[in-house]
Amino acid sequence: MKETLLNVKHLTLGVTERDGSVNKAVDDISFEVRKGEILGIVGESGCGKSLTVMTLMGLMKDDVFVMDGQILFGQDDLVRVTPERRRQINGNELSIIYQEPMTSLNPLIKIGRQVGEPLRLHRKDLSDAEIDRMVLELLTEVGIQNPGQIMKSYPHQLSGGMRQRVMIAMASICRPRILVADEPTTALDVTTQAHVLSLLKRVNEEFGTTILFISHDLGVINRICDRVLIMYAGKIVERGRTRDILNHPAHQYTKGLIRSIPTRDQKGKDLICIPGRVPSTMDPREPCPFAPRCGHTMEVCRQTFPECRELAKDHIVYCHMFD
Amino acid sequence: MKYFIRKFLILILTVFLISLMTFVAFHVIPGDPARLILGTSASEEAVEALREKLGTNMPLTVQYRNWISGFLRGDFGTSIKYRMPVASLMHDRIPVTTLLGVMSLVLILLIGIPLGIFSARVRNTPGEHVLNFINILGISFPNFFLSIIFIWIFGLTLHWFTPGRYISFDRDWAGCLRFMFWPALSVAIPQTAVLVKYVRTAMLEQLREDYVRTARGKGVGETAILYVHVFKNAIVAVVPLIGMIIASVLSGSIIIEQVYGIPGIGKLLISSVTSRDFPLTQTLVVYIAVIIVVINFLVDIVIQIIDPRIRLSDRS
Repeated sequence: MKETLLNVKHLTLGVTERDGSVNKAVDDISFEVRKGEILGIVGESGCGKSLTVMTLMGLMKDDVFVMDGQILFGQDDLVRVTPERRRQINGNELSIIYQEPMTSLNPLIKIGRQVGEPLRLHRKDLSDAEIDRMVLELLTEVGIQNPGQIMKSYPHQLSGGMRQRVMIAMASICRPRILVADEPTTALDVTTQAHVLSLLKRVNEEFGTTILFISHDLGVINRICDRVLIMYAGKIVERGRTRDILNHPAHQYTKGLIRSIPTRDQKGKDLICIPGRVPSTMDPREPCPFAPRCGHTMEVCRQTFPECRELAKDHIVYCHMFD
Repeated sequence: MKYFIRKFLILILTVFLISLMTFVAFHVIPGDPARLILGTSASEEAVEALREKLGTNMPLTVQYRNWISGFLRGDFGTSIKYRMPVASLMHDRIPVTTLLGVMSLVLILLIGIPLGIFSARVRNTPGEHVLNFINILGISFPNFFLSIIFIWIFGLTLHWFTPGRYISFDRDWAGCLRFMFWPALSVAIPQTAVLVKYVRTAMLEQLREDYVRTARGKGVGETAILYVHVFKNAIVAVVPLIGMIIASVLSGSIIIEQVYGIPGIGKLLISSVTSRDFPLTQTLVVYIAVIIVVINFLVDIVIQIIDPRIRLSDRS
């Protein structure tokens, strides 16, 4: 088995609601990120996948806090690092790209300077000329046609796809150990999506960067991820190798997600969806949070959250149907 | 470039319209300057002779043409009250007001901008409430009241300066600056408080933007986030206010100059209006209008230099 780079243990995140009450948004999840892989996290909006990676990066909004758990990364527990250590890690060993390439770049700072900033912060021995040269090289590598001119441009002069390439360059310039991609293709059109996905794949292969890839789109996950975690309402419900999960889904939620992917032979028929919606953190939850939408709900689902079951090597499900 | 030329032409047109409106305003309000100067007991012949001398007996269009053509040659007419060329009166007053304005402005910017950034930094801490309280005090104190307090404490009690005794810059520059510091501070405090509030609001607004999260994700420290990433974006929203502040301090504070006895534009304006000295008043109004229009022009240019997106939206 490959070396574990990052180990999330019993992570529980609380959200302070408007009325002051505290609810769990992520409830006791554990997983590991292995060196060199692309790990996907899938789930509908509001299931806690973004909150989880934002916690990893220390970028939670003010109303989110860690109630319990650890995130072990090298010598550090990312839940408890000091702000100084966090600044050393972010952009250098861990980096992130976002869903909104349009707003994630500073509108008044030139691209070259923004892409070079992580180097300026983390590699103090480099001269400005060396940094500029590295930025130029990397921009070429991420597929930007006229990098010299782009370096002198402002973000508004670039298209969405170009900006996401710039974000990827910025996030990988220090050769981080893990790159978090939080729905990086959701805001892009389909052809641009494909380019960005293959670019991330290349970053993974050529730079050896481990990627944590968040998406709600199993189709996208299928194209890029080695392994995948399925999250529902703050819980991990299934995890395994992408092809195992897609070919032999075990959890009813995973099955529902796969069924909801529109295919050619469904042409003319109604689109399939999972009835109901993800409960908000304010809603009361069943011990198995998927119980209200499941269709195979048993008495026990409303009493306890299922134990972890290993169906095959590296294929784990949390569901009472396998008790 | 085309944009600037167009803006500049608009500027010229605005100044022309202001001069026209000022002129018309002073000539349609009732009251005959010649009669006013000579008093009710003067003979009709004497009044008529003065009208002839002042040129007020000519048709308005001719008067306006004469005034404007004089204006363009730097001849602003003769003050009725002071019996001196308006130009030389202005020449004495403008440097005084400008010095006061520049000193105020330096204080406003030097205190206002760092304090605005700082108050964004101490958000959600007790320091925020302390700063907000001081800020509200600063905004609410009228500057003449501050002036009176300063004169009383630092002038009459501590003798740090002599109230009412203006020292000219040419005679004793150090004494002049020592004296002018207090009126400048009186002008600056309320304006600074307003600026702090604006800078703070703009900073807090920008801190919610996605690019701030990106910067944190890169490991940028809190100080660099405020000064490098956020400040540049926030200042775009504050530049128009700074422009208004500059225009207001340069056109002279009537109240402050009056309270401290400073022979500047503001004081000259009051005496010219009360004595119906229309050549002088007209010129002063146009002077102030030109300052405001020019500053607005500069504000436009500065914003475009800071924010490249605005240049683009104008072209399309």
